[in-house]
Amino acid sequence: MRSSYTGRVLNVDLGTGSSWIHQLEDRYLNEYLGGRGAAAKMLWEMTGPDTKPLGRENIIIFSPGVLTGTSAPTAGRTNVTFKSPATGGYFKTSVGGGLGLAIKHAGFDHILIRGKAKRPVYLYVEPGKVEIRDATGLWGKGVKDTNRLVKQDLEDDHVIMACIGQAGESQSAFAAIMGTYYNAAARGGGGAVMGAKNLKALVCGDSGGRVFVHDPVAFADAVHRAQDASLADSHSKTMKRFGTAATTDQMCVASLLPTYNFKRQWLEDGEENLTGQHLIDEGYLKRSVSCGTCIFGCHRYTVIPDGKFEGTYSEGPEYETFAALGANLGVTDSRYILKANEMANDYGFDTISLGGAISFAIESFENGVIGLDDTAGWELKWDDGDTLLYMIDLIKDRKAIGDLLAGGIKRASDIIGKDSYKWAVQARGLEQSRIELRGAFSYALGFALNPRGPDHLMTECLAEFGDAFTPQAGGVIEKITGDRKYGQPYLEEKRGAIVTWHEEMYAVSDSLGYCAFATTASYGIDEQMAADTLNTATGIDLSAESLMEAGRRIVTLERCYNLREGWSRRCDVLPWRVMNEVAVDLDPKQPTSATMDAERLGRMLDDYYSINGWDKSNGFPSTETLEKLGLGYIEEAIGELRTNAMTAPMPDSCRLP
Amino acid sequence: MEKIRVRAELCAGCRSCELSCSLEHFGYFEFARSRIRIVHDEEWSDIDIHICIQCDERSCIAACPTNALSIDDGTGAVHLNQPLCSHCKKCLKACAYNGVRWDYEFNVPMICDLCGGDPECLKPCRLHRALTPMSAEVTP
Repeated sequence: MRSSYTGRVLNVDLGTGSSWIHQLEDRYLNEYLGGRGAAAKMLWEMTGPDTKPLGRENIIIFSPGVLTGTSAPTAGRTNVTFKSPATGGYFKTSVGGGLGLAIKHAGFDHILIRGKAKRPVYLYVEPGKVEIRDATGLWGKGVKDTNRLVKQDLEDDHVIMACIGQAGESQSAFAAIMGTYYNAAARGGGGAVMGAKNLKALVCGDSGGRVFVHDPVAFADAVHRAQDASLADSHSKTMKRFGTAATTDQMCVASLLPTYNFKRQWLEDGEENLTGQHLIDEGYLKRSVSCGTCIFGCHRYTVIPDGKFEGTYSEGPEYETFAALGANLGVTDSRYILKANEMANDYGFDTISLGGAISFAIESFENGVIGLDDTAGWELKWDDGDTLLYMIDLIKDRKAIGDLLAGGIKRASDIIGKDSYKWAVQARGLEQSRIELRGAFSYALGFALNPRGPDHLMTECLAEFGDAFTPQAGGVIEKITGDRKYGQPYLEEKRGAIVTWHEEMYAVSDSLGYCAFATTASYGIDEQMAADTLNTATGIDLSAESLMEAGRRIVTLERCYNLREGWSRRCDVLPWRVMNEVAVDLDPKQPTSATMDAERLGRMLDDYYSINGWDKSNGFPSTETLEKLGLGYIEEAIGELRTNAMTAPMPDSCRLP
Repeated sequence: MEKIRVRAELCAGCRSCELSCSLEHFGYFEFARSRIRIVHDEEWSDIDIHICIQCDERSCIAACPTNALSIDDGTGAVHLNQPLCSHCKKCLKACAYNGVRWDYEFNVPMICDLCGGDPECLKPCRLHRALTPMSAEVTP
């Protein structure tokens, strides 16, 4: 039967230099939806508590969605799955650009890499050909140079790749995997996993190969409907015109913009410089850029045409980069942020964690916990673009305190001590992405439950802003809770249900390859639309309900991966500052008690656990829940852990002094 | 049938048009099997769009030694009478707009046929508007 998902996994062992193809059974599609879900199952099977994230035994799986390589709108994404050097747990990060299309057109649904090469190599894949090629001459190079040199080596200007920069080579805990030049599977240190394997790049030829669908006519019809619905969503034009930084200034006004390492929630001034509108007004925006088959195009290609930092060019900054390398440090001169963005993309850093590391360092300096000896003589200051650029190089070169920071702020604060955990804005080893959780309760609950740590890209609950965001968001809240009135962010009620729906929809989106912006920021592709495109593309027959149940199965499996690592309810927390400190100069407009304290979070967690059949005492899915989801096999691995889960030693990434 | 207006400066590089074209004409997805081609230099964000623009010259038709190419009365697009094609590639070389693509399996030219009047490539491009009907007004 023809299908857009063939279940073909390209296996590569870098240690032996061998490669082979194996065929996944049907249930990897029927029950785990391919893509993210199938990769989670493979990670569960092939790694475990004995796997060292930077050891040769860790694996890294590149998994485009089931619909990637077809014309399904926005379905061009690729999941990258590995055990994380930042968190020690399950990690999925996602990248756009053209990578997924290239992998699918090369004939694979997953590329699974294991082992460690003896010297730097890159992997080249095209239909019918797999080569491990020497990358000694690429080692030490940034992402732009890596692209140029690989293209020269292959004598092909149109190859597409996933590669690492210096950050990945030096195994920084927040080294990204860069998609060709400027896209990033950024979070969790996937770049370090590649670096530890001596793998500089995965390169795909951009020619040949076919992707089939089960019923081309019905599929084309479903795609047309998905396009129509996506373009009708009122958020679609905003994404196209202004990108992800469309509303940074409005977030500032609403006290939702974390600033000064989350000490404050807004900027005195200059917030308008951190927006998509500003990129247009200043003439920085050259083009709105799409990932594969994205009909929106929220990505920005920017150039500084003159003046300070003339000639700077890259894609971005995204909202998160503006917030992490800008607002978070008090930097509002956009030229510095564009320059920092260019450097981070070229060195291959996750800008979210990079900004977190720099703000942690500045506050540590301010508090006298580190000094000029640690910074190689530089006085670290807020509101200072030069501090930003200086610190990026210090971390890249692993000089002075940069060496410590490159390992992530959890480890840095463990070593620095002196109460620095209070301003290390991380949980479970991951630096928090920049939404003010003290003012957005579904976000807070979602961040606490996220198996990869406190960030937005497994559960982002934009819909909790309801009709104030878009009418479609209000509609989603009504669908989930029965009433649009729950579409406001300062409510505890119904947060469990809202997070549950978003987790499942994310798992479905990622597995099918859809961008989360098409399903959970704009809402054109709903459960039924996802099922229609999936069924016509693959010939399986899943109802919208079974699709979301498969989403729940994936989320639960990922949860259990971390429980097997020793995690428990004790790890479902947020950064210390968010749970314990009130923001300085709190905006009186904010109608909240101003911390996301353990009691409030605990009540919302109880709600979530009971909805999903998890044990409130330890955060484990009950035996019956696992059985019901067809995950009975997990019980054997985690059953004995249930009793002592809350008293056993905490995993390193979750332990606070 | 209206011609397609091409504005490469508005293209976001998503390649939906290529895949839609391939699906419409072949029933599967293959980049080499698309009559439209997006050439994207990602480093510098330069994009060219190669597609038949239904130019006035129609140099492909003039170059064809076997009269395999003609203008379709219904759509105004170039039509290939495949049995007449001598596979000489003169049309490919004659086109100044990179509007002809060679089908290496059937050894014949592929030229935009406007999908018989309802071009598939325009449908995913309604927001980007790099490809629109000729009469559509576009404000970037």
